[in-house]
Amino acid sequence: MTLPGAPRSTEAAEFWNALGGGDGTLLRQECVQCGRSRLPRTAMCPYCGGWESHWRPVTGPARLVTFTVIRRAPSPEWAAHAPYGVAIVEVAPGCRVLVNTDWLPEHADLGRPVVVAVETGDGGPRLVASRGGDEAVSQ
Amino acid sequence: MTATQPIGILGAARTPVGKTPGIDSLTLHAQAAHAAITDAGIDPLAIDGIITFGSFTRDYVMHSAVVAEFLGLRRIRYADVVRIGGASAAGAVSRAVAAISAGRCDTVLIVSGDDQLSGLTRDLAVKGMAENRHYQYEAPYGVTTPAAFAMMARLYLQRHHLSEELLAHVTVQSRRTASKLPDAMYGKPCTVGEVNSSKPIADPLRMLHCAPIADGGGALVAGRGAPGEVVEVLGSGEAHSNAHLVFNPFDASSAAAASAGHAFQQAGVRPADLGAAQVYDCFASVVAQVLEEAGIAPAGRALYQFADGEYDVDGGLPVNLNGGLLSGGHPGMPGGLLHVVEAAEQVRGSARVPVAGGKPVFVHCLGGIMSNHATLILGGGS
Ligand SMILES: [Zn+2]
Repeated sequence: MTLPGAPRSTEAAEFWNALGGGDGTLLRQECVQCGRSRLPRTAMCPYCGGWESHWRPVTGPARLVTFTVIRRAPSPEWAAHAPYGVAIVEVAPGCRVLVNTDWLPEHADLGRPVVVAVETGDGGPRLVASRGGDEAVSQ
Repeated sequence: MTATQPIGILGAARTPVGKTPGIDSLTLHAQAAHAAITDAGIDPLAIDGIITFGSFTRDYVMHSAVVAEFLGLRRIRYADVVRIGGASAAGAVSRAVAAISAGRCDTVLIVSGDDQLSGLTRDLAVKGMAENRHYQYEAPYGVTTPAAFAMMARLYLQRHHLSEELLAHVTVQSRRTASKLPDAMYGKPCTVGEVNSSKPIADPLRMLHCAPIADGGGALVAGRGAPGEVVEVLGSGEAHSNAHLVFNPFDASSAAAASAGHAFQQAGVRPADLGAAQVYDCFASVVAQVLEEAGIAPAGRALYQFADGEYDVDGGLPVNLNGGLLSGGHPGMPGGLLHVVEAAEQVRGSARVPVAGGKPVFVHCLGGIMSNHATLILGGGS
């Protein structure tokens, strides 16, 4: 079964178009007035009150903020995948997304670097975090 | 009643909470309202304000007007539906006080009731799964409400270097407290081992860390009354930082701290002055987090204090004397009202297990994923 994807919307059209486009690019929202970034999209900058913003590609390293492993799934469809990992990942300072993980995280994984990939889900794009090049980042 | 008399809670009541099939949401509203009006000893026709929270099983766009209509209240001057999730009950009390203070109305009925357990159809169960989940950023990942709270609990445990086994002490205290009551849904004491071997739901939360859904309702009557006869709202606070988990700013100081801080400041009360505390306990982890955020427990110590009996009936600060939602049952929207009703009874000394001894009682209600908070400090009732 294909896992669900996010339906597009007009409230963050540029973000979803980039994520669901051919390249599957994850964007962050950067405030014109104060330069700080945020994600998910908000109409106004929560830091300075500015209403103008640009979309920029997310480039830097991502880190696992928190996670859970779901043992009791919300539906028969998800039960087929249980147990599965869900996490909040910080993809840039002030920018966070919710993802599934491609491994079952443990407490020691908190704060660890992860790689966020865009996949094609049923009805739209979806985000998956992996541990990436473990050895490369742990040094 | 004169305009110089203090404003507060004149009546407080709950319906039985548990499994009561065949009693629908509106009927539970009526049962709770009748009991609270009787408790207040007022003429029901004097009620000119109503606040409800909506219903999970049978909602209406004009919910408070529908409830007033069903009750037979035809002289309403102030009607409001408060929809700030689990924070609605404490938020409704401060709104009622403000409305009375501003002269909008004199006597406000705050009421909620839901047959969340017996009325749970398959469609409603699906709707419940989607509740509080952002349809784009969260729903596609199979995240559940316990999972979202589990992620907050994980952060809390990590921040203070606590083992997840410690969470069990909140449930153990809750069951021990509930065992002193005649009618708690889960009134049998349990052990740390039983909690930690209960069915895993979403790490680190297990079945016995989660409040079981129930049917039930609660109601309050707010108005002016003679000093000593009214449970006064000494202080109130409210804070909202977001609604969905993915929007949580994960700031060092949360909205819970802001809400409780404002209530303490307004009341001129310190945590050491409290006689009891009622903390919204949809999940065991939340109680420890709120007690610390509110400054009642030292940071990272609440779970150890639960283990040491600090929050027991005979401890330094008894917590959740109605067994809370964890052991008393969680009827959904009315859940917070059950906490406020118990707090009011503690202040009056009419509680089933009275412990407050005339001291102020702290009530903290929360909604969303620990994102929406309302706090009351009640006192002056005896
Ligand atoms: Zn800005």
